[in-house]
Amino acid sequence: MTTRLTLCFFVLFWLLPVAGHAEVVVIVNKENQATNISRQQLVDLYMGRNIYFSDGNLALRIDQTPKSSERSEFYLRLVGKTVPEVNAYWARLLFTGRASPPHVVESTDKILEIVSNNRYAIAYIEKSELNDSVKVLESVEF
Amino acid sequence: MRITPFNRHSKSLLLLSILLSGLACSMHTFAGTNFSDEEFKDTKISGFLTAGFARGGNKRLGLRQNIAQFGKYADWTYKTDSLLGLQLNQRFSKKWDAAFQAIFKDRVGDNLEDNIEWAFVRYAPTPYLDMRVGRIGLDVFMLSDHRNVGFAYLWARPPIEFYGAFGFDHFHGADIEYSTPLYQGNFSTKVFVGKARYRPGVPRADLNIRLEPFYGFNIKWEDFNWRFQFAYADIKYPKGSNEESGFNELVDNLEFAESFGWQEAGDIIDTLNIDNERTQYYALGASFENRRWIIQSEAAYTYTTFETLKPYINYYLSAGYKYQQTIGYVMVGHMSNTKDVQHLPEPPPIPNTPGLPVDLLQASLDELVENVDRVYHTARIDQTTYTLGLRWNLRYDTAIKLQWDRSHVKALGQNLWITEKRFNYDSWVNTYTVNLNFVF
Repeated sequence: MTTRLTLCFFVLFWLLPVAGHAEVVVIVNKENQATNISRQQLVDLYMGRNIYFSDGNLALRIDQTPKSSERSEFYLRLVGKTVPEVNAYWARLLFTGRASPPHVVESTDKILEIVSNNRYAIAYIEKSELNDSVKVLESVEF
Repeated sequence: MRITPFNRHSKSLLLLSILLSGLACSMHTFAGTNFSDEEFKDTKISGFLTAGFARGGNKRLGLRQNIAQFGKYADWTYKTDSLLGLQLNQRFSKKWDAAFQAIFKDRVGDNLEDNIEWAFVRYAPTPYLDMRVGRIGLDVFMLSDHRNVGFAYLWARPPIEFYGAFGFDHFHGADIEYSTPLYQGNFSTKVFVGKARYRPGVPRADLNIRLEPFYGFNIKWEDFNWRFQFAYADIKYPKGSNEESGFNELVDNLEFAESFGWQEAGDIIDTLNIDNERTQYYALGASFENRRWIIQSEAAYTYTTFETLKPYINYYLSAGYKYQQTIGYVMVGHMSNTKDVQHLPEPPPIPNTPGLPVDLLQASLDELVENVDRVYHTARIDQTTYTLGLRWNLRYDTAIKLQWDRSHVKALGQNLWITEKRFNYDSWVNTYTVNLNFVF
């Protein structure tokens, strides 16, 4: 009985998405010259169409974890897709060798650390978790 | 019949060694936070899995995913669809990266080396241009080289009339792709050249088909709702193909029969020549996806100068409707030859000559006629499939799919199935598929 309950708990936990609504902002390193980013540029970066900043430097793209509410909110607003749909899209690109998805980082603290240490990093986080180690990009349409 | 030794084995292993050496030298995980501003090295290991159960066909038609499988007659099997794929992506610098992918699944080719889908090195001098060399995935249809990654597409079983006739997923060679933003989307074009081979599943026969050279191009445009693609590929069957396809024995017997007065035997020999013959493939695809609908269609025409393999057309149309995490879909697919199989002229009976074993010769001649007729019908395909299915995105990396296919297989046009012997009447065949797709 205990084993069954444990199994049920495990399956439910495995299936359960994190609920909630997040207000996300796009962040870059403070030395990054950009002050804003268009929705199109953001789509290009995060969907692997063009992974370079406009100055030609390769972007270090950071993603939240798949279960996070930030990730759900970000992709729904960016391309109107759910996380499984975005993952299916990436499965197509990754497993055809055409592009690699953004790097997944486990916590917002870690994301802030990476962005503050890497000049060409870009990420998105919950607005309330912002600090002054990074710069927020204004996104006109996002 | 003979299988040609696969002499590219050592080359692929060498490439694999280079890749793994590069990996060992540059293992740099993302856990660290100090990346160079100018470039960073990165290693990614990922994979995909399909745990599938299917039941299809009947006692005379064995279900197979494509012609490179031996198939299963009228019973549940995990072999047809189940597979495991492992992939290693290694970025060496901003401009150089490499990829290695192995797929373990049921196929006629059972060498360890057959499981290597890719092993290529890529150079991207600009964001708009990249070049790859090595073992590279095919890019001539909408599922391009990801038809083994079930999570990436809608169906439990890609339309068999479109994808079932492809017995290979990769080639050895090089490609160059140019891509650029165009009208709110992305335009790309690719040229590829190389060589490929595959082993089709034919009962009691070991065949090795070589495609040398194999070259072509594609043109694509896509945004987040629409995808359009055109592809062209040209294939040549090189010298030595007659022997590898097992036709030499038939030719010898036909020459013998000609000496006994079957005058048309010489013409039949001409139709069995595959050396230096060519096949051209033209494919067009389009898809549309929004928050509610996924609609996709492809059509292709295959022309060949090899007289035994008649030209054919194939197409499908699929429409899916999304509701929360589920997508219900319907599809229809068709494939058929555009020319009839040539008529096999009757040989005259063996003349009653004293001292000759006439009965024995007549029996051999009858068998020869049957074998030639079987070869003439080997590549004949004529079927239509109606599909109903459901995909449920169980989690961000896992999907379950259920699919029911009902196929109308016309008389003698049964080559997408495994058969011991062609039969001259129509069949209606059901295929039931349950798949669990997972990516990691």
